[in-house]
Amino acid sequence: MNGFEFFCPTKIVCGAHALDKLPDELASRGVKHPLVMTDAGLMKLGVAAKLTDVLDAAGVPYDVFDQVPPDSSMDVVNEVAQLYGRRGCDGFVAIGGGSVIDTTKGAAASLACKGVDFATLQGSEILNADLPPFIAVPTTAGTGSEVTLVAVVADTKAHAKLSFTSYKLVPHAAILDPALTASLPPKLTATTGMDALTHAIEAYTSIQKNPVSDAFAVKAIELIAANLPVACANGGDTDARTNLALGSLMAGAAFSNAMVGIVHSIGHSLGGLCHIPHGQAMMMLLPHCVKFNLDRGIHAGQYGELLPYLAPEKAAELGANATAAQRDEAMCASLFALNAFFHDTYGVPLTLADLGVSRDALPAVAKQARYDGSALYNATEITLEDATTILEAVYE
Amino acid sequence: MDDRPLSPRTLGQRLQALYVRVLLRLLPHLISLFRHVSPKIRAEVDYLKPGYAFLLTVRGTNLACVCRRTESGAFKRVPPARLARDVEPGSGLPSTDASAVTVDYVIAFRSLAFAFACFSGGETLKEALAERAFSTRGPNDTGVALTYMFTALLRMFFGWRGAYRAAKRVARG
Repeated sequence: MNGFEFFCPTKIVCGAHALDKLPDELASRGVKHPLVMTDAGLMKLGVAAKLTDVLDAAGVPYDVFDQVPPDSSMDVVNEVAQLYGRRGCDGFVAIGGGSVIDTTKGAAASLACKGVDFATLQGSEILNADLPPFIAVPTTAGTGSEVTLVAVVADTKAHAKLSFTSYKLVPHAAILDPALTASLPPKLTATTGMDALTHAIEAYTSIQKNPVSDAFAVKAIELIAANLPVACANGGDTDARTNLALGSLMAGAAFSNAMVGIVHSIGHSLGGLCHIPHGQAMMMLLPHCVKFNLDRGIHAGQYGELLPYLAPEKAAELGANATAAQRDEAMCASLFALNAFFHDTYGVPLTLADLGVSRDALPAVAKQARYDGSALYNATEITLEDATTILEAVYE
Repeated sequence: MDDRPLSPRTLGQRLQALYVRVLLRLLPHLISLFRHVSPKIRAEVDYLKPGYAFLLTVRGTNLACVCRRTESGAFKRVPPARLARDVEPGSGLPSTDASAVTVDYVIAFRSLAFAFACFSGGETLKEALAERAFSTRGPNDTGVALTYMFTALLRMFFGWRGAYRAAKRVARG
């Protein structure tokens, strides 16, 4: 067996009314005055208020930063770090999607390093100081950032997404409360859920895959596949929302330790250069990348191993005597079918043309994808031709 | 973490340290030479801007080498005395000493055994990455370019070894 490391120290607080346990989680970490991180949209929708109401009821004083943009930047990270110091805060509570949680990771890391600019900490495993107490409360079931060692922050000047990885960036606790995702529209539920599915599938095929991350990935796929369509159809289904949130968290734990590959390399590039939302990019790219790999014999047999978890009926239909190639093919077809379902039912765009991306942008996207940090963990080197082939397939 | 150099204890370790030391000394010359031979190496060198400097180091030893890209695309070894002392390597911060060389990217092998396995073709750079045999600091894109470059370079020497033949099979499917 190849050597590996697995690290997931986050306390998971999951289930209906889990948010009510937040004051206890803060108290147990000695936090008396947290900085609540969120974005303007969640403030407007009253989702953030569900959390601040809990703090108000428990008499916990707090400050709020609600200006995290969808593609957070270094400027915001540094602004938050300064605000935290000025207001005398002693811990973070991040309520939001990946951008809010990743921005908080950046600010917390900067503070842990005594105010150093987060931009100087790019790389892997270079952060040695512990973060201030940090509780993540995800409002989407997609990024898994509540348990990952990764923070993705945009460099707005270079139009690139920068990734930071360190075991120290993992939040101390994650609160998964289905009430926080109940109002998420079906389209967003679908794209964020497919992001989580991508994490699990790429973790399972990454060069850093290991038996522990595999176990998380497989269970995540099972939970997401069984609950994503239900949560889209009925957002108020508490069980489906909870299972989906847990699936996303488990996919996060898998990829935090095994990393991701070609889908994320191209997706990060599309996000940085063409401003395609991350979940949307993952959803579009995933089946095409799987097909690309299978056409070249890459991960042959591995994708098919996931079929019973993604599409158990199809696996049963194929039966025990199906060849590995048949399972691979069925897995790929199932991913295309999932996308088609979300497109037909909820109008999720499936091509770059639909999203208004100019074909002229593709060479630059391909080049940036080749040099994205995730490319290192792909089983094969991502050439410009590879990235271009996939982008052309997704174009229209 | 205690990064004080440890003396190699066995003859084998001493030989490994000597081998890695020689290779690190040769590294800038190898890159400069083989960029003329390998289009892959040349493409990655071209990706790195003139003045770009990287540090390869092995924890627990005094083995380290800083290489800097010149305008012509060759790489030169930077003597330790010329390195900036006021900024951390890989931080991207400028030094107050304009004549000092700042290191853009750091690859730090976690032990001599990991470095030796990689530099002797016992395992590919990708395998080393998979088992987190080294940590990095600096901009990801140039780290990826360096990884592609080193992989091409190592394959030229050790393509005959099992690790590289297996990697080729994966790539071909």
